[in-house]
Amino acid sequence: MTDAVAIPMEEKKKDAVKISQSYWSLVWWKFKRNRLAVVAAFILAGYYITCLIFPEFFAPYSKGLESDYIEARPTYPHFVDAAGSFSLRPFVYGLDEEIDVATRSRKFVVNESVKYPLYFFVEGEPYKLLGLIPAKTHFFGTDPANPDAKVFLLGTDRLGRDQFSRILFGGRISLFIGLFSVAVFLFVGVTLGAASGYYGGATDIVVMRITELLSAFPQEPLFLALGAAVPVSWPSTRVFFMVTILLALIQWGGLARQVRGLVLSGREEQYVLAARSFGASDRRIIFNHLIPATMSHVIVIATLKIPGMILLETALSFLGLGLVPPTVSWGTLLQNANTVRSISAAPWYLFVTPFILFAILAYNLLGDGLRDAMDPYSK
Amino acid sequence: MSEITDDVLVSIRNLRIRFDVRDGIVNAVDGANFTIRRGKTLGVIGESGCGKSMTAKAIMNMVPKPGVMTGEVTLYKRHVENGSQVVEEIRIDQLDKDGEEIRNIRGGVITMIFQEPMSSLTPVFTAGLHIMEAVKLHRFLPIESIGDTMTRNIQKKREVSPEEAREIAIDMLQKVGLPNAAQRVDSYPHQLSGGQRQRVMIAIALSTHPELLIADEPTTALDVSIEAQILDLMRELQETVDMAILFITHNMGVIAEMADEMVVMYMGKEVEEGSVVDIFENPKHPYTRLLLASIPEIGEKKRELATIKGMTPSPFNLPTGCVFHPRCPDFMPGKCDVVKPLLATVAKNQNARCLMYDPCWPNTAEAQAVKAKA
Amino acid sequence: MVSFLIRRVFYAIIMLILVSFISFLIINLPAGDFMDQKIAELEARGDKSAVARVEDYRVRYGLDKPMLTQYWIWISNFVRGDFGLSFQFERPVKELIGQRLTLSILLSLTTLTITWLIAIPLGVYSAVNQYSIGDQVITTIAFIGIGLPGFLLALLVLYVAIVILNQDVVGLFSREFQDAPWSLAKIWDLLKHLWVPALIGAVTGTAGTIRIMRGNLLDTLGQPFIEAARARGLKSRRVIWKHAVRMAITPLVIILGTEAFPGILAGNILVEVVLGLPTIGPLYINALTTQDMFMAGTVLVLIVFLLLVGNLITDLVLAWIDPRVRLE
Ligand SMILES: Nc1ncnc2c1ncn2[C@@H]1O[C@H](COP(=O)(O)OP(=O)(O)OP(=O)(O)O)[C@@H](O)[C@H]1O
Ligand code: SF4
Ligand SMILES: [Mg+2]
Repeated sequence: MTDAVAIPMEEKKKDAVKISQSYWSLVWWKFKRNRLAVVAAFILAGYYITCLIFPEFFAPYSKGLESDYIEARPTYPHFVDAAGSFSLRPFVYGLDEEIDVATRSRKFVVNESVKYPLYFFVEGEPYKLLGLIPAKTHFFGTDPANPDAKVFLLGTDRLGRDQFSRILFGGRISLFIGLFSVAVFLFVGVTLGAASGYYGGATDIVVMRITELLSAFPQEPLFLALGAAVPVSWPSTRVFFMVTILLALIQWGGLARQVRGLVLSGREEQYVLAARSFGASDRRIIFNHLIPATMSHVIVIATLKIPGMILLETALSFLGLGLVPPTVSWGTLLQNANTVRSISAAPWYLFVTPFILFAILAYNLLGDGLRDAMDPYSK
Repeated sequence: MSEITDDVLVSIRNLRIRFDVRDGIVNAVDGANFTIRRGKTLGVIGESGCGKSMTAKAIMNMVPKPGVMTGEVTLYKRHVENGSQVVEEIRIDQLDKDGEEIRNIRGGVITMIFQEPMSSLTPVFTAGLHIMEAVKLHRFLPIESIGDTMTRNIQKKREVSPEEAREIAIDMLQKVGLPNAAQRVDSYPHQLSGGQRQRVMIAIALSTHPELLIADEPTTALDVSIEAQILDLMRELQETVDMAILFITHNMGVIAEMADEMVVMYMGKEVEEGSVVDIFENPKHPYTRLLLASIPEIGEKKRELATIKGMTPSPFNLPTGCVFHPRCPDFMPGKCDVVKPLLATVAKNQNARCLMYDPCWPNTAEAQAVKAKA
Repeated sequence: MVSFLIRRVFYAIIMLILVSFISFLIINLPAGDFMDQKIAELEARGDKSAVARVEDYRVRYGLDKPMLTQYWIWISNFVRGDFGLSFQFERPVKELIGQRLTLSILLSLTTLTITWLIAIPLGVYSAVNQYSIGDQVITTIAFIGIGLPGFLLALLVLYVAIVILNQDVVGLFSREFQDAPWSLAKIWDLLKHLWVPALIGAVTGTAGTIRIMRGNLLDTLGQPFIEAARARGLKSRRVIWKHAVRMAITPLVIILGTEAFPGILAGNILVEVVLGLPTIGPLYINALTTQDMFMAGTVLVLIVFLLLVGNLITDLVLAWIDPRVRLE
């Protein structure tokens, strides 16, 4: 009996491998033809390289470096100076502090008589690359020999810290939250969904009741309330992980339901029945047979979920209910812009928004491209 | 059977429908020529995908989007003008696809029963509403008017009122044998069985007194006993209302039962046409012969055309010469795979497209050379 | 039908009890923080009577009792319409919410109207003219719109209004009308302010609705009954609106019940906060940040209540517009 079944099983497996190979190569082929999605993938790669992996290198300053330039306006790079002469090497103008007598406020104005050339691969503040390798080289910066030379591409904040550098470092946290919370979300959603579909019975009932309960809550208000419940006294890393996990925990219900549905329909498939007749363990069947069958669906959901996670974190921190300084994330950076006064006095605080928007758009494009590529019925 | 005589209702000349799709060009219909006569039934038979439904849609100028239609579809519409009958020639293929003129023909002069009875009714409308919608657009009642004949002829008809439309709906449902029509008129499609839905479709199609009813495989989706009932119903109704039927099917037995004349199609082309009696007695084209051989004997279960060896070729990669040659039992190497046969008269009132018959050889030097050589 | 209703209502009540309890737990997680803080604050100021008053609240709402008792006191008052006291403002929650409810409803209705007025025609146009230039423009804009978070948009609008146009777009009233009694002039002033948050709030919804409408309508237009309707000689317009849109609109009803209805209270909290609107959203956030537990808990439970009621209404409406949906 075992022999009789075993031979076709082997063949079936080979077939399955062949089919899955050609499926993924077809997906890859379709994906490559979607130009927008490919561009989005490159943009995201750029984000991850500059913000998540090497912000120390790409940022001219460290995230905490303070300076005397308090809420200074951005100094944009130029190639042509005020006199009209062109130089191949970009430069920035210096800044002068000025006191506005009428409003009794201080502000910085561009001084076109001072030029600081920009250099690539300059020596600057020492840092540890990837937290391990000590290094001093930064992607760009001003002449290290001239301590007066500064470059604030996107202005500075209340403590004179460089916004551009901080946005890169903030991206590290925000992008990481996106990935990490989606990972938790996938793990919880897929495991519980698969278990629910595979075991049925009590497991199924309990899991499904929980997802129903979750769906009875409005997501945003619930998340805000949970965020507010995270004690203010906690250390920042703990808050960070808590927020990340909360993001995943309020959202896994929908995924679990979908995976459960897929597993339910896959449970009676021949290869699963065969594996069971060989006495394969439940865990093995779930992880080796049922979950892979839901992969393409899950990948798409995950990709489309990441931008939502990033946004929720940003929103929570923006409201002061999530991450708090000194943690630097896009949300905490955006907190600087939460009053009308700061928007009118230092609108460059808003420079973080395009960074967020582009990341989100890129994720949506990528997710859409993946969905089209993985749908066997699309063109 | 191509001359235009008084009893011609629709004539189709050189009809072609092509689809430009990513993988190439599909010629769904590739030069069809036939004539539908008043009060008669024309059967069209052919394997799935040979272009039967497309031909039907072309008659209503409803070829779906990427499709491009060329050729002539002419409707000879009779009506009474100043007391005498005139026949108006309408080139359907040249009408604006969404214009008033074609809309008056669709559902009024020509009606259609579609292939899928299960999903051809709008789910949110009751059976009655479907009929009333058509009746309000296309059926007019005579006005009981006093006055001379002149004015009577000019405004002799008026639209039906909602109450009358509802009465007509119930009456039609009764006619197609829907039990309890007075209540069924308010049933939603999902509350009806497949057979009942098809009866409703027939009721809609007949409610406007059309001159031509196109029935596109009206019974394929139904089981055999219901099929017989529906076919009986259609025959009965045709007798009472002088109307032509274009009957599309893949089943030779149904053709024998229903049609006066028939057209056999293969890959977008007619391969044989003539009267049903002639063709059944003396089929000329090898394909027709195979189709006839596949008719089930009495008592045998219904069999479809699948018994012909091989599959229909890919539309992107058509065989050279006679497109039927890879499957043809009478295949003549050196001829059939080289020369494209013409449709020509091969017996009295019987046309075929096969190189076994001399008239089908094209009158070109190359073709004649091939013929001479073999 | 009746038994269906009874079962659904029963289910909704069970859900509401569970949800209200969980909400209460969440809101109470940092327990006591607010009261202790407040008392310490008042003691420092030496305001004896205030301290006594706060102590009094503590006893009245059983804040010195175990959690379950606290919940019981709160929820039994809640069903009688007493939502408790906002400790921060020392005024009843009901009164504070009531003040802002009208504006919240007005805002969400305006947002919804704008959304549907734009989205349904565009979605229909897009589907009917699939692959046309107009369709491509609409789908591209809708695609970007879906990813645009309202509050970031609101920040950018603030920037443009304040820095570039030098305009006041914050709030729903100009300063002179803030506390003025209702008058025609005040209503006009409100309308002048209302469209900004409504439009911002409508962006994401519009984009999503366009996509849904287009997708569904495309599916529906491909159905045989559409072709059959055309073959009956109906006008294109009638086929599209009476036969196709009627079918394709069903999912919008679901959205109406499950998103728009609870959205009355918290449709776009973040946009409301950014633009400083006198609506319920900012009240909720404020309550969360200051641990004003009855306030936050009430808003959360009311939103859940609307969500459940919305689901119930959705089921009924669906059964009404689509005869295939049977209630059993
Ligand atoms: N939208 C389209 N794009 C490309 N090709 C199409 C399209 N619609 C139809 N066709 C082609 O037109 C051909 C004829 O289709 P038609 O529906 O007329 O077949 P049929 O004879 O009615 O078949 P059946 O018996 O299955 O109903 C088919 O081969 C099909 O490939
Ligand atoms: S032409 Fe040749 S291949 Fe074609 S049908 Fe006739 S005999 Fe067969
Ligand atoms: Mg067909």
